[in-house]
Parts: sequence; structure tokens; C-alpha cells
Amino acid sequence: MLDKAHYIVVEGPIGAGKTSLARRLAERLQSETLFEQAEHNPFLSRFYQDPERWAMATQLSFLYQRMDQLAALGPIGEERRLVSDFIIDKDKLFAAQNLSTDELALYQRIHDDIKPAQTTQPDLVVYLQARPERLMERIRKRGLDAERHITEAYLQQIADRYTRYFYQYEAAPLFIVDAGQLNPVDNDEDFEMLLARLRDMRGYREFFGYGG
Amino acid sequence: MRAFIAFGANLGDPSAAFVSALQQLGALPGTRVVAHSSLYRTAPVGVEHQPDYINAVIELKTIVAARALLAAMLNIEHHNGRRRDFAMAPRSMDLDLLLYGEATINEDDLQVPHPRMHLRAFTLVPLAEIAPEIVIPAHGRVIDLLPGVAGQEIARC
Repeated sequence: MLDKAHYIVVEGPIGAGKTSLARRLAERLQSETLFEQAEHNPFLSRFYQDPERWAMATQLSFLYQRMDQLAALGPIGEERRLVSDFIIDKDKLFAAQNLSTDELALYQRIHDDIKPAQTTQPDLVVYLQARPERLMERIRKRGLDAERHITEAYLQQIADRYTRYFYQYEAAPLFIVDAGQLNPVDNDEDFEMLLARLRDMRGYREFFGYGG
Repeated sequence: MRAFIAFGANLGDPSAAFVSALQQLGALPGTRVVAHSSLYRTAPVGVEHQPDYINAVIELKTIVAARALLAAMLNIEHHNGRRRDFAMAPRSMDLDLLLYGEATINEDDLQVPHPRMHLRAFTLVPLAEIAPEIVIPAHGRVIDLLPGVAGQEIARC
């Protein structure tokens, strides 16, 4: 699967290690990268301090950032491979979690108005699944100022949304990694094992953990 | 945002390249082509033995930021096989960002308004066809700038 994939996405909740893994994959595969630019969202740190007040601005800022990235992306294919740390649909997942009913309805209108009818879909998604304690640990370790106010309760909600979202996901082959047990970001052996499993992947959905 | 883009080509099939540019620009997120000028023909300046240039101007309504729009334009050029053999080499498609709302942007690789647009008939004449009242920041209205390029040869195709 891995060698045929041209647009690979590493996804998962905040702190799962998606950006680090995407970077490592891109280096190995010698492909381009497309990263979410949370640091360019001027509302994000305010959102973590006062979610209700800043949720809408944060969501809209991410939405427009992604549309700019999509516009600038250009064609992906035989000559061009891309590893990314987000899928476009994550916006809706976070919007459903963070916006009030009225805000969500308004957001939906804006979203539907500006999102192109057809967007390029990834041809392989690696989903890093981890428990909130593990996510919290990673967030503390990287020590980003904007993320100081993230709570474990919030991470739990986001992790649950991701689980439900990927439970139903059918747009691309999905490879689920138990990031609680395996650490393909920092552990070379785990990384090599992940690569081998991705290469051999045949089905539409596989699970990678010590148990499975 | 209201954006104006200059189209130019002098290789291959310029009118097919123009249709392709319109389609690809219109397919960008939150973007539609509001208007485009006729195609115009001008002789290339500074190089001999090259086919005439075909020029036009496209007006977009877009939510895409200027820098991302520029990147998209470069992709579209590249996709249509622009040759970069030498600075004034023949081109199958050349896209320049002329105006982005009323913004003035001065960065190494992105200058808006396009620095020489007010001096060239092949941008001003097609632009005047679709937006005569539009103001080029620091230079004024397009129709007022037209007399300044009246000596340059340009013909509608």
C-alpha cells in the first residue's frame, strides 16, 4: 500500500504525535509535506483559555487557513508525493465539539459556501490512537505556550470524536496505530515495523498494536 | 476579495491555455471567475523571431489569500508546461497577480499591484475592458492611465 500511496495523511487527536510521525515518514519517503499551521492561528491560545468565547474565531481561522493550503497545493500524483498531518474534514469534527448550536449552523453555512465540491482525498490514512493521559503527557513534554491550558477532559472529548469519526471512515484505506503501546516517532524499531506493515497492507482497514 | 490576474501566452495554443486557466482558477476554493477580457495580441518586446503574445485579464472573486493565490497560479502555469529556459523565453502560459483588492504588498516574491502593470498596454487595455474604474494603488484609475500607453501597439484578437 505504502509505495502506491501519493497522498498520505497522519491523523489523530492533539498530542498523538502526528506531525512528528508525518515528518519522519516524509523524510523516509522523500516526499513533500503539508502541515497544519496552528501557530498561525491567532485565536488558538485564547481559545484554550476561554473556549466559549473564542471557538468560532478559532474554527473560522483554521477553515480559511486550510482553504489557502488547498488552493496552493496543486496536483498530487505519480511525480509528486505528499505527507500531511491533517485531513480537511477534521475542521468539522472540531467544530461539532467546540461550537454552540447556533454557531455551528452559521459555521456550516460558511463551510459549505467556500469548500470546493471536490477535494483531493488521501489514498492512505494513518490514525494514531491514544488515551488522554498519553496525549497530555506529550503535550506537557513539548511545552507549547498556546497549549498550556488544555485539559484532560477536553482531550478525552476530542479523542472520543476521533474514535467515532474513524469508526465510520471509508474515504481511504485506514491504518490504525495504538500510539499508547507503540511509539513510531521516537522508537526506531517501532517506526521500521510500521513502515513494513504499511508496505504489506492489503485491506481497507488494519490495526497495528502489540496485540493485533 | 476582488483579484485581477494577467494572462499571457505565445506558444502552443494560447486560446486553449486561456480556457484552461479560467477553469483551473475557477476551481480554487471559494473562488469564481467574475469576468474576463477579450484576448489581445501584442508583439514581444526585446526579443526577435518569437510569435506574438496573446494577453488577457481575468477578474476573480476569491477567499484565497494573496500568497496562496500566487502559489496556485504558479502551479497552474507549471501544469500547463511553462518553459523557463531563459528570462524572455516563449511561454505557454504566464499568470501575474495584478491587483488583490486594494492591497499593497511588497515582498521579494510577491508585489501587488504588479510593479509594471501601469506602464503596459497589454495589462491596461484588457483591464480597462472589464474594470475601467478600478484604481491601481499609487497610480490611479485604469482609464486615466490608458493615454500613457497609447503608443504601444495592441490589437484585439
